[in-house]
Amino acid sequence: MKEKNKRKIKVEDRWLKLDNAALIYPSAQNNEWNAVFRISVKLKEKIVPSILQDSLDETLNRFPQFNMSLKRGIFWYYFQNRRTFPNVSKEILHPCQKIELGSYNHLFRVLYYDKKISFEAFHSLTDGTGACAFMECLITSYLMKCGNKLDLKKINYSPLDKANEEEIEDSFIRYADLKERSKHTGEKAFKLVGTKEDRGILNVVTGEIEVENLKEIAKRYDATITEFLAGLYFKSMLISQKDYNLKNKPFIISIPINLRKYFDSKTLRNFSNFINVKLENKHFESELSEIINIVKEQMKQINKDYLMKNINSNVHAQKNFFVRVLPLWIKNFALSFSYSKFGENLYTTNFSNLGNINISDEFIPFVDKFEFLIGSPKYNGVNFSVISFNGKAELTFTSSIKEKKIEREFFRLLSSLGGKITLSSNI
Amino acid sequence: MNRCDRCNVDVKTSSNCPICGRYCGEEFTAREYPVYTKNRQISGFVIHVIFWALLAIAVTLTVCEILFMKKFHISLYFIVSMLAIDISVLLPIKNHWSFNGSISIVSIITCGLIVFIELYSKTFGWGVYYAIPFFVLAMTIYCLLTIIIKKYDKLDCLISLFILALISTALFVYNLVAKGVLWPSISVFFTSWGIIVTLFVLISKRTKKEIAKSFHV
Ligand SMILES: [Zn+2]
Repeated sequence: MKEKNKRKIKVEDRWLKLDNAALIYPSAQNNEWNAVFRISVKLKEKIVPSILQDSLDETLNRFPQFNMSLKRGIFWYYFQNRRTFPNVSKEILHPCQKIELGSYNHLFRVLYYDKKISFEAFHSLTDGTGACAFMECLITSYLMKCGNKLDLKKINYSPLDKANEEEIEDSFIRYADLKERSKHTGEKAFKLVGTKEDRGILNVVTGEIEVENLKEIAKRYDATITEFLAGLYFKSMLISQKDYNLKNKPFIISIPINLRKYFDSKTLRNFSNFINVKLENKHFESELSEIINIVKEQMKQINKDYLMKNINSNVHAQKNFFVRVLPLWIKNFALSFSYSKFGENLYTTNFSNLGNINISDEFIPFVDKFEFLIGSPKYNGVNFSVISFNGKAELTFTSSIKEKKIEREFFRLLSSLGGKITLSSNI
Repeated sequence: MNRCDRCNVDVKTSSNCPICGRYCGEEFTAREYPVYTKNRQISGFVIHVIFWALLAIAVTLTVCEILFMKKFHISLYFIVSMLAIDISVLLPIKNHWSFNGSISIVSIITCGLIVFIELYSKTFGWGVYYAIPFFVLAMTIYCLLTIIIKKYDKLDCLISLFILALISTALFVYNLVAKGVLWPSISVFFTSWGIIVTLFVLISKRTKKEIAKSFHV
């Protein structure tokens, strides 16, 4: 989507280095794909585009670190602030289309459709937490401009707050002590089989369920919601893929971990790590309860030490002198190769649980629901994401394969366990 | 609200169950996503058509020349020109190259093509004396106008201006040594380096910062 009629603003020249987690995404992109995710909010009234535009301008004054473009240096990419604000646009295409990364393009877009506002961002810019903060500020501004009264003291990110430097820090660099490092010994994961959709088509199926309902089911397995859903996801993948040659490769779910829960940080740039939860083929016939226990066992290893080793390992690679002095085009080539060999190859799918969105209760009268979508991966077929607000959880599958077997098995299993599910979709 | 009895779920936004396709009724609320229009990659499609059309013409021309005229003349011009168009026009459009990248590749390839035509047609001189200098001058002025009209940053065309200046220097030196027609290459030499020096003077205050950005390790 081309940006048109951008309005000029007066700002000081500002540039930022990419944070540690952001480095891989520009190199991994190709002609048709890059890593994009989406946070949407469905309000109770129809969206007025002109008011949304004013709100976006106000929000970008609060979060100048989002008003950036990506530029090429000799050795690394960097963010350069923009002297224009982007326009909001009507949603007409499938979610999470590629975001073009030219010097004159923003790294996010704001879309509207009916009662829904969507914020789509290139993953180098921010992670789920940063996107939620941006969205909170955007809807606060929007609702107030629509004439609603909100108590700004109860809102985490108000448009009247001043921009905060702590929200711009690279927390990876701050916390890495480079003492102990994790040893990445990934093995190739099973790839989901299915008929690929054309690039740009993303099938979305969202199941809405009461959080209490979900908690009660998870409690039966003595598991957290994340552990239970990961187990159920494994089970539905196994059932739906059992007709294909499973090739002795394990099913691996990559689960992002919000590092802010373990390391004090106010940053709204990337600050997450991940754990690859594995199901060996000897467990392929296991019952759901056994699978959930396997997930629980692996999730136990997440602690500050484990995460610190991962951070150290990544930051160490970034700080290596020989890596630093390599020209960007060689880095691009190497990172693109390593993304194809050691990135998506090491997991079958992504499962990201943002949990209960950390947002003020002030929004309850105006907001119907939030949604969180992971864009189509470069090589893998299906992603699963969860977000909850006001006692309702939205379980969303985004898929670039035509068959709906996994979604079907997942929601049928959840329903058979007592889940009361309402589906919505773009299909 | 619609209900799919097969999946045991409520269906909110469509008359068919999104996961099994079963028809469940018409009691659904408003859609949550738009009805999509096909996002056709028109530029990609056009590029493919142009590429295959050029290739087809080149092959036909070559075969005809070899079969009927028993020589290889016009078709070589065409094959080299086709390669030049591929590299300098289709490739940058397809891969969304930056302004700097596109201008640089167009300049280098066009100059190379002119020299090839000169040499192959045994009419050497008109290219290096007149055509290439005027072409480089036109591209330099185009870069300058882009900065002024599109309000690009002064540094955003620097690489392409630098490459154009290098070409003009090479021309100037060649024409000086070979005692060719000098005035076109002298004009473009001074214009291109003059523009670069002016830009550097204009950004002198932020030079340190720009170097820090571009060279940070
Ligand atoms: Zn169904």
